[in-house]
Amino acid sequence: MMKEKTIMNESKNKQDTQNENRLSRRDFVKQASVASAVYWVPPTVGSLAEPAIERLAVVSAMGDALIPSAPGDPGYKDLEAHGISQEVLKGLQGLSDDLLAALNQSSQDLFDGKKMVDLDEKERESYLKEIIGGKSFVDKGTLFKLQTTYKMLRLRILTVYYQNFPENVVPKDSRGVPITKDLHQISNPNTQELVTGWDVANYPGPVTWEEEERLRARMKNIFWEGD
Amino acid sequence: MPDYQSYDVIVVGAGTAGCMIAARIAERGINPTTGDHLRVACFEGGPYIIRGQEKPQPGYGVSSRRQAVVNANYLGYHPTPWPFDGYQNKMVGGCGLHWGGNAYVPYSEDYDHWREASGVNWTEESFRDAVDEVIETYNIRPSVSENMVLGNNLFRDAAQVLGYQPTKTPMARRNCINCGYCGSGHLCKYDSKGTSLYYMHLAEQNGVKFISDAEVERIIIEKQGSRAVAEGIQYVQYGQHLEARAPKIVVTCGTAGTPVLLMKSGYGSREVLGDKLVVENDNVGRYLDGDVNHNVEALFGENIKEDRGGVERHQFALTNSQGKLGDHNLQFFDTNLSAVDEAYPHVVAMHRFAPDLGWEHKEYMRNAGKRFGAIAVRLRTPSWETGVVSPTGKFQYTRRNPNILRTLKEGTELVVDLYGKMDIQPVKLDRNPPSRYRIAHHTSSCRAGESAQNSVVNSDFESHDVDNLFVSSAAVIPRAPLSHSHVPTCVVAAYTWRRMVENHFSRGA
Repeated sequence: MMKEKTIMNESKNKQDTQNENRLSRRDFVKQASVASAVYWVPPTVGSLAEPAIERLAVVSAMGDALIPSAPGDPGYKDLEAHGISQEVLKGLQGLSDDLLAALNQSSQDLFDGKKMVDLDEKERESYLKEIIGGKSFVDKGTLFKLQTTYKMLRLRILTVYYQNFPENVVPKDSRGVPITKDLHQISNPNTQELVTGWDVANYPGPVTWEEEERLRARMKNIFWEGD
Repeated sequence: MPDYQSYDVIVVGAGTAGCMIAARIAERGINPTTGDHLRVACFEGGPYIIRGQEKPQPGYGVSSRRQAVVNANYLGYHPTPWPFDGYQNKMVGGCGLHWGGNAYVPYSEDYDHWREASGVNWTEESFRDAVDEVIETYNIRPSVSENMVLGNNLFRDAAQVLGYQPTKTPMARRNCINCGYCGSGHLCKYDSKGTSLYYMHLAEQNGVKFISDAEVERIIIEKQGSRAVAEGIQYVQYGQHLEARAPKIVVTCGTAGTPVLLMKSGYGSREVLGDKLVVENDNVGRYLDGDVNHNVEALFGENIKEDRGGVERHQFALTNSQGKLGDHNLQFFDTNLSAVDEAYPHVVAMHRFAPDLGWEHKEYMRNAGKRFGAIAVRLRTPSWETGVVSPTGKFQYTRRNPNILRTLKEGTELVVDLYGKMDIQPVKLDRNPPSRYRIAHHTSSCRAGESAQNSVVNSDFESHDVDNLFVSSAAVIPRAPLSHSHVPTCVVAAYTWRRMVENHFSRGA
């Protein structure tokens, strides 16, 4: 009960943010961070080790809808082999099976009895846009639940994916200090081997040692020449 | 043997002011009677991450510091909000204030405002040496054209079209490589911003003992006749309750931490402390000041930033009819039209400018980080709009003052005009002024002033009410500076050690 309440409040806050367009970007950063933290619940062995099939399937379908894939243009589903949906679900333990099931099954009235997980890419996008727009749903209570579930999934999926899963972890020691591989403490975990969120977003992450040396030399020439 | 440690000076808080004051007192101060060097201890609630490791290397930083602040993941290195409001880098050499690269020494008007606010005797002339020290230490220099990106130039040109004269913002340059990851309250991996590295090193060279992971619970204040005297501190380290004593105690715990510690020590207003009151002063935790910022955000149809860099800035300010900066002074910065530091993909992905889902969202993501930006509208809050710091460190003030909101609306409208004059027009623009705000760059919660009726310490940072107790941090600045508050805090700290050495730690003082 407490978790649901927290999430509902957070969802309302998000809605306020988007509706009012009031917060600064820094506020937004804070809020997004807080939201992620709120959703994250310490894992329990049973629920995380074997998430229910439908939960996993719904998250997977949502991930594919939010970040689609095509040949030569990897997206969310290309990281399924690395456990991205399980990672997403770790932060959604407060989201009930009922809400996820409602999201999955409410498409049946609109798409010839097909559940969301069975829709093709265009149908799924169309379905989610119906939820966002809300016009196809007469029961406002149902619509609110669907929209809330959609927003929670969207926040969690986009956060996990664009935080560069699975290349987002730097090992740390007992004091929380990252353990790095070389003398220069270059700790960017992003690799060229896997197309991840940072790659899709063309985000370079922290500088490499070579870049650091180049930038330092450039700055010395500009500011400290003759010092 | 006493069951406490004994020093000549105890500094509580190893942030910017604490490191600087501890280092300089140890370096320049002497026992006024014996001429001996001083035994200075600096207590800090957070860890000391470079202990036992290699010495800092100028131009390179400290490798363990680099390890501690690497930016693999925003959540992983966001500063700890505990225990107070605001951002905290709770560690030896940490910094409670958000400090990107903007580095404004106090304006001439700031000294006027400070004297008017509380009667301090501070002047631009008397602060000159302190200002020079900070400029040199942090290598403060104006932004340079070579590093400007398209976003900077769009702002500059549009401002000029509207008749304003933007100037290049001074920036802290020590060790800076223009990587662009400054801001957001986190430390700089290269020890260029928000750092006390230089003073930590100086402190160690001069024998300062850093006592880390030591949460100071209270200042020991004893009554001696009609006077109160600070005699030491009680603290908790690794679960042990310990005590240290010294004839001089300096509290440098920032705008939130300073009044909290004083109140925990029984020093504050009767109304707040009740029967826990030891020494009464209504100004502890009062006069919380700062500035209000609103970012007017835009999304462009082409890149306005580079992959790296973006620490350079322009700014212009509106002055009053006398050409002066003052209350309701609006300032405008191109901060987020150049900086790449906050364009973390997961933040960009969730931004309100982002499409909902699918290929449209993915296409947006490919470039949005370099096309997304904001112009900052900054308003120093009027002096009558100050807040308070609660005994638990909460900042309490109104967030919907209609006069402030009206001024922010004016600023927003000006920025919308500014975007309209740009050679490249935004494809999306947030025209809405804020409906509430929050104060940033907090100061003045234990301000310096002429008497106990309006302040906590005098112009030389000595408590009005408690002998041997000193305070210096952003908390003592009589009202928020017209610029960002970090460098003024450094300058005040640099002035503090000068006054303390002259008054207390020189031969015959």
